[in-house]
Amino acid sequence: MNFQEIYTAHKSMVYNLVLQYTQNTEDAEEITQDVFLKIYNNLESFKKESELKTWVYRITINQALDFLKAKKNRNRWSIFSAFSSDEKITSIGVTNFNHPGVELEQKEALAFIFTCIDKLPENQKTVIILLKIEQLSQAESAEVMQLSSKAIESLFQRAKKNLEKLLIENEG
Amino acid sequence: MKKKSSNNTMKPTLEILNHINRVDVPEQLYDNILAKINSKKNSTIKLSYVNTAAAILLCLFSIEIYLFTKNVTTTTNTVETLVSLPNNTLYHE
Repeated sequence: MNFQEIYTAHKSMVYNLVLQYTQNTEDAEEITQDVFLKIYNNLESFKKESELKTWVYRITINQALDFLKAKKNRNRWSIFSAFSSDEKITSIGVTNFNHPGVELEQKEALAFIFTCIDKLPENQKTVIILLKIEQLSQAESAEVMQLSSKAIESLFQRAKKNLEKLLIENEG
Repeated sequence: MKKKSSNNTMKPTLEILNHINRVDVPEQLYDNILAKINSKKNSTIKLSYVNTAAAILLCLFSIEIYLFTKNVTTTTNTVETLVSLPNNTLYHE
């Protein structure tokens, strides 16, 4: 499989998965480019121990998380961060939400849920995205996250509990 | 009163996540990726060039050290010939 074939087969999966992390098209495009650049550079070193799809999933998740971490650090040092609170959901979070896959009538509700999901630890956020948005099976998610199915189940339960807490805290 | 279970309260919240539609990938994305790949290719320096540059620098550095040490020994020799250093050996014992 050459690079163009890999791109054609996985572009939609990568772009849509990245969108669940960033919720805006500008960042999603940038991360998708970086993901395929990484795939291009590491294609020769790809050991066929796992499926290509799983490998692409892992690169995408790591790239998205690294990007968000870097962005968070940049924001922390910027002057404007003084005006935005990390604890409470402000209007800034909602206006940044520009997910093209969300219908207008659900935009506000989903923006709120995503703001809470973004506050979860990385692995809990990933498990919700893989299981509930990407609709991967528990076994598939386990392979992508390199965990056992049991671990995925308990991680999901913890994520659900924490998300519920965050939704209640931020509702008021 | 029994507390509502997490499963019941979270169900509608998690269900709403299923309503996110798949999005088409922008068409210019592949061209952008290829442009990034090409720019990376052009900006990377061949390892052989780096090795050659390192070898040249190492040679220059060793020549510099050699010349410096040679210079130091010759200057001490000239000083010794010009200035008669006091000799504390007792001749007429």
